[in-house]
Amino acid sequence: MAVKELKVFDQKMYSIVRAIAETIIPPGGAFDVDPQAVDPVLLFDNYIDGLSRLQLKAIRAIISAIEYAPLVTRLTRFTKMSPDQRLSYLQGWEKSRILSKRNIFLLLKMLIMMSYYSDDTVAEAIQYHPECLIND
Amino acid sequence: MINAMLYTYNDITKDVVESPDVCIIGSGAGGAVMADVLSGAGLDVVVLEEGGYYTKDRYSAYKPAVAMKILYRDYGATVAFGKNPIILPLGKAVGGTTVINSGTCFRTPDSVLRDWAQRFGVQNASTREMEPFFEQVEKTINVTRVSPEVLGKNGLVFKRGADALGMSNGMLMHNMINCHGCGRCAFGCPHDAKQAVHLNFIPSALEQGARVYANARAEVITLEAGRVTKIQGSILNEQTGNRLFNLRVTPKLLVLAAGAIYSPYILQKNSIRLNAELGKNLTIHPAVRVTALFDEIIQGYKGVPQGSYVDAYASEGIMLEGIFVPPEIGLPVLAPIGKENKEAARRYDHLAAFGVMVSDKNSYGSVKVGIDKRPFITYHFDPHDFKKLVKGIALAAEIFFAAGARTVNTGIFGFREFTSPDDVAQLFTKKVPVTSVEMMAFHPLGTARMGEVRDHTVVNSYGKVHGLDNLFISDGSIFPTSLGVNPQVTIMSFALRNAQYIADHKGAFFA
Ligand SMILES: Cc1cc2nc3c(=O)[nH]c(=O)nc-3n(C[C@H](O)[C@H](O)[C@H](O)COP(=O)(O)OP(=O)(O)OC[C@H]3O[C@@H](n4cnc5c(N)ncnc54)[C@H](O)[C@@H]3O)c2cc1C
Ligand code: SF4
Repeated sequence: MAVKELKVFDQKMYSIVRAIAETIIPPGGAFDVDPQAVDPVLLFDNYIDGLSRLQLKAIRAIISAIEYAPLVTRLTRFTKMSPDQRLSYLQGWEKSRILSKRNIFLLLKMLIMMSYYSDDTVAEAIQYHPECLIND
Repeated sequence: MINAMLYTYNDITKDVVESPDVCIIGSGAGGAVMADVLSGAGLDVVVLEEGGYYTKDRYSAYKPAVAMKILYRDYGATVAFGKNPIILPLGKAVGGTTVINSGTCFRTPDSVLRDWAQRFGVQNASTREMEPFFEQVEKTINVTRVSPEVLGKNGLVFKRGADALGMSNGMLMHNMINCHGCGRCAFGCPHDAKQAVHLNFIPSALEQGARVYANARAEVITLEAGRVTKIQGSILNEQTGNRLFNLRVTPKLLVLAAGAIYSPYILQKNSIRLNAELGKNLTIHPAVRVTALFDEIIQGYKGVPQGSYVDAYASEGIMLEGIFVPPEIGLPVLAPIGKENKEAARRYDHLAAFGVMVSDKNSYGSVKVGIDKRPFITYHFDPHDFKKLVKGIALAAEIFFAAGARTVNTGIFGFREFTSPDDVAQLFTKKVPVTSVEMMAFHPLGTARMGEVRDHTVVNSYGKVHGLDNLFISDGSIFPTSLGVNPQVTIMSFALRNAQYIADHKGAFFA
């Protein structure tokens, strides 16, 4: 991943978001796409370029919170966890009884999933073919 | 460029200075109609629009997510804060929110017009008196019923369920010509089938000599001796949002048409408080999306996303209207993380979705200038209104099961997917906290109410601000209560009526 293509994240942020993205949308399962062909984190990065400085700060803070919060509870960072541990940790955010925690995570999940499912390769993999009902 | 007098940031090379008869801030449903009528009456009109000017060629190239970045404010994620934050998307373009709306058209319900007359003293706006304005608007934006060929299966299965339960339903009225049923209304119609106001009222105003500035944000409004004397602002670079040039307009009359959030905001930001009601009484018509999984293929993204309705409970303030979004917008909310969301993605063709909207009878919100100097929107969802929303969700679930759904996803946190109609009863036996429902709203209204009862209203029956001679408001802000239906025809029809009033009293306003 060439750093120069990134507009908002640095390489470290990119790696954290990549780990989050691979947990939200893991390899395998109902369909698969070549991970080299689709980079939702790069799309995410380019997408949020244009938000205000304050908004970008908030997004970076959310990502850092996800990475470092487990230091307190699990004595490790998110990126150091195994895939299963990552999943159960993020499910804790997604299913939290605390609304604001849920919403913060939903924002990140939306940006990642929106980037991923916007990709043509993914659209093809899920056989999503938007078409007109009536053509000219 | 459709006309030499529509200027974007690309066309502007120096500071803009204008002294028209009328300056209109905002080119959406309310502003565009004003521009057309007032320029048609021979007045010199300048329109300032913060958003860019987009045509079908531009937005047909955008994927939905990109369209949300470009055509919406805040990437479509403007929020009303309360116990549970509600997403309140707003359009930002020449044509305002009509460029990205679903195209559904309703006249103002008679009961609502009567209520406004009785409680707020709104004059000369009975159904009979509004009739010619509704008619003219409907003719201009070509309101017709959605045809079965473009309804798509999402609308059809819901209709099938409602018919099975004997619930009143039908195809919605829409402003479209030659709709292709491509399902993209909320991201800019790539066929110019949806008749947003940048395709009719704006071109007509331009032909009559109005000048429309896109990428032009009004920032400072100066009042002197009870009159608006000056508007200052910036011409913005569309890509970066940076200021390129200054803007200075000294009109004889100002029409504020920046929408129900930005009109009160811009006044408050300029310390023009008008009265205690400004920025209060916000209604938003809260909505949720209920999704169902079918064995049959639905492909809900083909067809008019909002093509049909169920109005069996409209008298209780509950409206069900179609709503379908592409996977990149729908899946993040619908599917949990992990392998499950990939399974949901693979089943996207089998999903149907319908929206539930409730009138905010007792709920209320407000717009203020926040500490970051941006609009700060709050909304208190009244428990009675929330109960109606839950009832609406239950109705949608029942309808889906009656149509043959295998499972129904209410999107309510803490509730599993329903697998049979019997599960729906849980919505009434278990507690459903307001914080457990992911809500959206699309119809902000009411922050500068109209009427003659001065203590409760900001503008008079024709949109003129009480106590100021040359300031009108013409957008969703002026409607005293929730309509219970989609508002664009109401906004346009009142704009038409109020513009006609200004034109008929030219002598008084433009002496
Ligand atoms: C996704 C979606 C779907 C919808 N579907 C429907 C539907 O099917 N049917 C229906 O009836 N309604 C629908 N609506 C609502 C409807 O489109 C709006 O209620 C209506 O367009 C509001 O009109 P308005 O004049 O109040 O404001 P808008 O149409 O929002 O126009 C306000 C304009 O003012 C501009 N502006 C704001 N501040 C400034 C400033 N300082 N300087 C310059 N310009 C400024 C904005 O950029 C904007 O373009 C929908 C809304 C959304 C978000
Ligand atoms: S369904 Fe497609 S063609 Fe029809 S109005 Fe919507 S965007 Fe336009």
